[in-house]
Amino acid sequence: MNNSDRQGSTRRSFLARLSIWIGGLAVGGGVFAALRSLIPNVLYEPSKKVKIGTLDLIPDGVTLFKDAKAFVSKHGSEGKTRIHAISAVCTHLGCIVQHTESEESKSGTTDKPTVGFSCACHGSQFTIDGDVVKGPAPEPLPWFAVSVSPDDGQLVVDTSSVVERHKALLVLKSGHCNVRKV
Amino acid sequence: MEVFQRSRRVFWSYSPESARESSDSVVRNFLFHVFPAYVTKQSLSLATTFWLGTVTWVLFVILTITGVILMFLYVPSVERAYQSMKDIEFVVSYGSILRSMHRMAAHGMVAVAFLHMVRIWYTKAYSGPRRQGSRREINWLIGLVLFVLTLALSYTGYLLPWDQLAYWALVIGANVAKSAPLVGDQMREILIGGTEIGQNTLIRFYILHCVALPILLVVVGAYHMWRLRRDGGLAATDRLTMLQSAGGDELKPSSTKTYTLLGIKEGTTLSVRSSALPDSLLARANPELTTRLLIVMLLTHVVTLGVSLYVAAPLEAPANPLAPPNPAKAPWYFLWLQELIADTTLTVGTYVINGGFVGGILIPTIALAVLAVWPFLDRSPDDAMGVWFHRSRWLQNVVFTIGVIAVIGLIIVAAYLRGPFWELYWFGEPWPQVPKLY
Ligand code: HEM
Ligand code: FES
Repeated sequence: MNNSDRQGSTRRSFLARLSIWIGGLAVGGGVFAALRSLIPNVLYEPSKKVKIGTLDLIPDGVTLFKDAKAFVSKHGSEGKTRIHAISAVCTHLGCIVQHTESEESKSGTTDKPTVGFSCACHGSQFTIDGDVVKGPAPEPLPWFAVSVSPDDGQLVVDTSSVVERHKALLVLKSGHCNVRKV
Repeated sequence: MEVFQRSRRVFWSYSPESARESSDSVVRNFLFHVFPAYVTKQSLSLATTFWLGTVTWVLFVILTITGVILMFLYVPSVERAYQSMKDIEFVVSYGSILRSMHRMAAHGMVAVAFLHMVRIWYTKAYSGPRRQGSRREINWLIGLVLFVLTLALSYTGYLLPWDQLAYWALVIGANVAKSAPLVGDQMREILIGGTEIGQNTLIRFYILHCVALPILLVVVGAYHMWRLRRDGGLAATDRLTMLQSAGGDELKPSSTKTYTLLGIKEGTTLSVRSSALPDSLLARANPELTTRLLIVMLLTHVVTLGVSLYVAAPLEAPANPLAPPNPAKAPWYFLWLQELIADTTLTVGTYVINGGFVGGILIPTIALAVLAVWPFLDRSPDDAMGVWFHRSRWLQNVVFTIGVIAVIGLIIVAAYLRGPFWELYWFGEPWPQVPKLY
């Protein structure tokens, strides 16, 4: 054995090192490939943009739309209809919150910030605008962009696009964009 | 009679004629090979271990057998999983008992492994006389790994029925992973195989539950048992040896040979044969240990079966991704974490740290880390080793007990005092009606 210094690399030690490298690469490559194959390249998941129907099909008030996992709020006054969408997914750990607004707060007879949504999992509560009232939720419920689909006039909630509140409001004149293609 | 004799020779070659022969079977019989030839009577005594580690193994064996049968009956598909659970419950002969045994043994394994850990702590069985080459602390670390694996097996197991409990446990679990800083999003994605919980998620957890985790547990568990031999038996045995040597006999570690995967590991340890332990303190592993083992196996089996006949494994409504149960509660062994998660969202300046991270990751990790380093920092005298509640360790025991009580307290709060919307209600206080969704 040549154990005096590194330069004195013999054929034997060279082959030993080579095989360690090759073995290491093979094992490393195998592990990497195995792990990488578990990260999907294509997701066969529903679109994040969800059509929720034309304006006339959307009930007044606050409604949970299942595919969008969002509450759509529709209020009409003075010939205008205001629409916005708030995520129904609790910002704490993802349970679906319930619409638990009280009657007086719905009719606007109280101006205290009251509970609009509550989460069954760990008791977070949010105002009707999504701000945290109580509980472990770290952030307000996000608002999603709502738009009118150019092809069939349905409203579209884009759950991948979180928007600021003052930009999230969609105001439609009554009778506008209301045509349903049959 | 002749037939009996003959078949006996084929299936059961073991028929010792003398005590000496039965003791020798330890080296002649493959299965008995895991035992040493002699053990101390002390380590066979009920009060030394309460056989808790052994019971954990037996429960694991029951889980493996019932689990493999369940695998023939269960379909890991989002569309069919729930239906196949219903079939097991109501259509398959003895299916509900089978499923119940699997579930009860799972609960039992978590509970008994925990009690085993508690017993190790209170008897200071996580250390040995270090000068003699014992490294029982390592077995404590391996034990912690085993405990985490046991919890992981339980978690992945109750996800499989794809009922409400399963679905919402997945939602919460995946988002706890996501709440970790920096790597959270990737962790969630790898765990559930995408951005939404679905078929990818189910098949992942199915493989983890039925293949990866059990194999891991067997491998790590085998190492746990090997170390037990390597460290010269139980801590109680070390204690006997030390007492003996304090009585005047010289304490000399003997050389040992333990089988490893590819050879024999030589070393020194205090072992049963090493020093001057008089014969009166010793017992032959076969039959003294083996018969006790059989009794423990039988009793564990009987209790598991008995409980399963009376308690059915729960199956909630099918998974509904729009409406968590109200209140939605985890199984008892995770309730303390659920309570922590609900209470620990912190505000630091303008930052808000999600309780999912604090209660779901940070606090359990710290708890595990403290448990892991504790034996290495434990400076109590060797006298404390292998006896229950030694006086020199009263402070340590008080600290540990407070921790255990805190966990149990949190479980009780979450189990009995939390009502709809996770509000607090006193024992027996009626819960308000909550609207039934969908
Ligand atoms: C799947 C879980 C486990 C199994 C199957 C298991 C099995 C066993 C068995 C059969 C023994 C022999 C003595 C006895 O029965 O008490 C033992 C000893 C031991 N176990 Fe475990 N165990 C598990 C988990 C744990 C845990 C969670 C810990 C601690 C964190 C632990 C630490 C130890 C230690 C330190 C010993 C040596 C005890 C002594 O020398 O007296 N084990 N284990
Ligand atoms: S998920 Fe809503 S409070 Fe925890």
